[in-house]
Amino acid sequence: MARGGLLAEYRRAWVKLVRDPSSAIGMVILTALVLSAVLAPVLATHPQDVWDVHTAERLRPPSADHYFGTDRLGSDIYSRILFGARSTIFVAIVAIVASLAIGVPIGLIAGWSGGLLGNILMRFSDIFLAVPQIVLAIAIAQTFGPSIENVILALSATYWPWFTRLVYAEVRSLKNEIFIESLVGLGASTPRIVVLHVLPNVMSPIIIRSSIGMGFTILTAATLSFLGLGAQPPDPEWGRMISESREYLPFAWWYAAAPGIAIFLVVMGFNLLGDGLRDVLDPRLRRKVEK
Amino acid sequence: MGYASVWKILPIVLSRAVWVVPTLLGLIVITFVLSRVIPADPVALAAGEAATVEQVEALRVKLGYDRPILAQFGTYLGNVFVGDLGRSLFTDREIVEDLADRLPATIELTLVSMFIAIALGIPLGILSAVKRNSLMDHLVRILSVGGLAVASFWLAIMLQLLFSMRLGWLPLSGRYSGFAPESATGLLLLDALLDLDFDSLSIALQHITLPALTLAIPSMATIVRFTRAGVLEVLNSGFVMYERAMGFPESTILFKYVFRNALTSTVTQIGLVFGLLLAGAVVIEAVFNWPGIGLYAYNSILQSDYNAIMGFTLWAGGIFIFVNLIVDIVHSLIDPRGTA
Amino acid sequence: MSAPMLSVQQVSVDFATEDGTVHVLDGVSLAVGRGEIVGLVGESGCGKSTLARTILGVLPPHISTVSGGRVVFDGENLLDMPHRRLARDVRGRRITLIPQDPYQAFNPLFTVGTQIMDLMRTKSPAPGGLSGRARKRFDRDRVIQVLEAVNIPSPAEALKKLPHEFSGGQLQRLMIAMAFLPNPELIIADEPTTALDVTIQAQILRLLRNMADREGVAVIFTTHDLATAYQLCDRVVVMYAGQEMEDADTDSFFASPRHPYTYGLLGSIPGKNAEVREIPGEMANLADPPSGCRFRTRCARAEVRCAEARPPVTECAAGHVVRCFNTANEQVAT
Repeated sequence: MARGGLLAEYRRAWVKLVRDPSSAIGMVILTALVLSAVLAPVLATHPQDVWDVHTAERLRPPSADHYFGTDRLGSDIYSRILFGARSTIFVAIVAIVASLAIGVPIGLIAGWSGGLLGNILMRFSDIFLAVPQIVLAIAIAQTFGPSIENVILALSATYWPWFTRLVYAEVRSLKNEIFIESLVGLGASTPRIVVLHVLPNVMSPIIIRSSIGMGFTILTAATLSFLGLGAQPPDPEWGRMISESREYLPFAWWYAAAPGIAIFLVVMGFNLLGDGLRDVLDPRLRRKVEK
Repeated sequence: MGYASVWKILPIVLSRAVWVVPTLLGLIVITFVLSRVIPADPVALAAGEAATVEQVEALRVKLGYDRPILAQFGTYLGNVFVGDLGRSLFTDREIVEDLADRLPATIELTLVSMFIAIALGIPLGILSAVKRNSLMDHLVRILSVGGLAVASFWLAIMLQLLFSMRLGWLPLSGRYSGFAPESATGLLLLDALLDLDFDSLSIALQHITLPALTLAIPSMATIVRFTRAGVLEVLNSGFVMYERAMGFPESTILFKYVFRNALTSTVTQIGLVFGLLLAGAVVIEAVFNWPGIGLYAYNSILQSDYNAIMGFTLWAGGIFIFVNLIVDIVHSLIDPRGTA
Repeated sequence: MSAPMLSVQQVSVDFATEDGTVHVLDGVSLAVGRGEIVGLVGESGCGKSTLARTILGVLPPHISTVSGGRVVFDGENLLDMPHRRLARDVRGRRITLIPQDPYQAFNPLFTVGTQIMDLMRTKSPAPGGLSGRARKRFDRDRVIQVLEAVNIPSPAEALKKLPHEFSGGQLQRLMIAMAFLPNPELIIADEPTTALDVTIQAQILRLLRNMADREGVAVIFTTHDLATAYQLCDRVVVMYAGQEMEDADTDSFFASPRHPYTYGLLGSIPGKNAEVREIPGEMANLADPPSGCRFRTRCARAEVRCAEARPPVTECAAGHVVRCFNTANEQVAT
């Protein structure tokens, strides 16, 4: 019954989500992102420009042929942005999935067992939160060398504690709920209770946090690339494109403008969706506001 | 505040301070692992590409890298404890000295940004909550969502392009034009103010405007969001309902009761905001060529100066932990219920 | 009956919710005379707290609308009064509140004294001639005096304490003191004992009754407990689904109840054989209320006409009104 109820609740949540203007805008932006990533070869006007160099076409302003202009190597910025969406999505998804894979189990174990083990696990995760994320990510990415894979490593290694903290707090409060107590009383096995009953009940905050985390991760990844710690040329990556554009700034404003706006829109999309999800899924917050 | 309250506060301070020790230790373990354990041969990195095998081996013994890993950690820990973060591979100076030289510029930038973020963020958050669902509220919310979504290095570049390159209103980069005047405090703005040197003050202000503003934006957006949420929550609380029902003047309710409660929750976010500023300083100082610790970290990345990066990481982590400790203590002082 | 001090006439209040418009109050009427203690009784969700908020003019903004009726206090309709005047001259001065939960009603960050003195600053009954220091001294003396009257030990010290340093019972005594401090004509006590420990509920009620009698203040006392209303009140009004169902003086109410809902409520008080009788069914859905009589879906004596038309409010005896078709019937044994 509990799971049927949850399903029905998610369906209701979906309807509200679509009607909420900010999360609707978020979803439109993110759909556009996914479409441009998937259809990049089709949508791109110069799909070969990810690798091709046309020195004669360098630093052309936006035109009918090059919607967002061309870069220092004469490549079409519009096409590179589309292909850049691929690495953006890839980095964000892998980093968040990895953070979930590390953070959620640790949070579940720490929250369910409590006591000394729970305390040690939480203290361990607190250490990673004790340094501003980008600073620790810089140290990690620098140690392992500049590459997309190491950016993902650095992001996952620094983001997972947020999930641990979240799941820990939820599980602690859930443990006192009557239905969980009665399951324990009925002699249900611990893994069974945790996976079948606790996990579905902490899904909402995890989903909200994941959406906001995607935006945050994209921003951090772009920053690392900007600092030269991420993707290496010629791979099209938005943060990297901005960093390349700096030398040409006085006479090629479009070079920096397009990737920056792309980052802005995508991060905003995830944040808006996250806010909308929070309004719809988090019953405690809802009660607070309506009361 | 009398002695009695000092005695009441002391246990709170101690109980928070105790937790700093394992966290700091954990941080040191992380930087140790990153700099000594993970790289295949940290000594070869330290010696540089031109070094011969003999030179590398000599350096290995000299740095003590031939000893067991635990012994190495002991030395490392001892060094960090006395403030020895090693030598920069690039400047060949003590990292602590490098950091100390660049600290005032970063402090100045961070403080001005913090001031902007708080001075604008709190009133906007309050206004937005009090005038909920008004045009003003919607505008502030859009700006705060945008402020959290924009890549600050990109915004910095765009502002440079507009205000420095196109309009020529503000200097492109740096902290001062020409040679900065002899500085007593290291903080140019403060120096100029103390000396009543308004020319210097104006030059320094022009230089700091863009970097401070850009650095402040994500923090300001965060403060706006938390303040707004805090005020809304307090406005819906039982005591506001009671005060309204008893006809307390609306100004007393808002300016005396609601603000105090809402600010208590905003204070807890100052730690988070400080983290944003520290992290943002790296890219903002890099873009504006601001001669602080962030620019030092950026140059260290460009030159693969591992020691300097780890030193920076330890420094930033240490400061961040310390600031959060202070925030925690301040919060328990403002909120007399005391959660200790 | 001469013109009552407060008369609520046909008041309707709607709440806008996600599930549509909810008619929380639906043409409710009642009257309170000077110095009279009126018990407003009903299950939770019947609208008694909303009625209390409507009288005070502090309904939740944006989501609620008063769609009809008048609240006449001393000859003036409070619903028409400008907000500013209502807040300054009526609320906290002529009509005060004792809230449901004293833990929630004090701001946790300020001393009790600060909060009480802030009330006095604008609502003090000090004579007009007094000002500045003299008025402050007058206020402080009065506060100490009233705190003593509500049995707060060492009142001067108590004023320096923070709310969390008091017990719930003491906090509610402070709330009672604050309700009496401005010398009001009417106090609205909104379930003042529900948040408190059972053992001190009786003390608080006795205190409230004594204070009200001594000061000659009228009280609207909301509760879901008929026994409390019986001990405390001069008159009892039973509410169901946003309407008053029965309204009578306490003796007549308990001696000859007329409304089927009242029988139900009386039945749900543990009797001599300690049996608790529940009223069958659930509270009417106020977003989509039943046609005709609101109570008919749970009424043992519902007839066809109860669904077809709204029962009129009829006076079955002097000062005893009932909203039911069946008032002429003999009382059914309970």
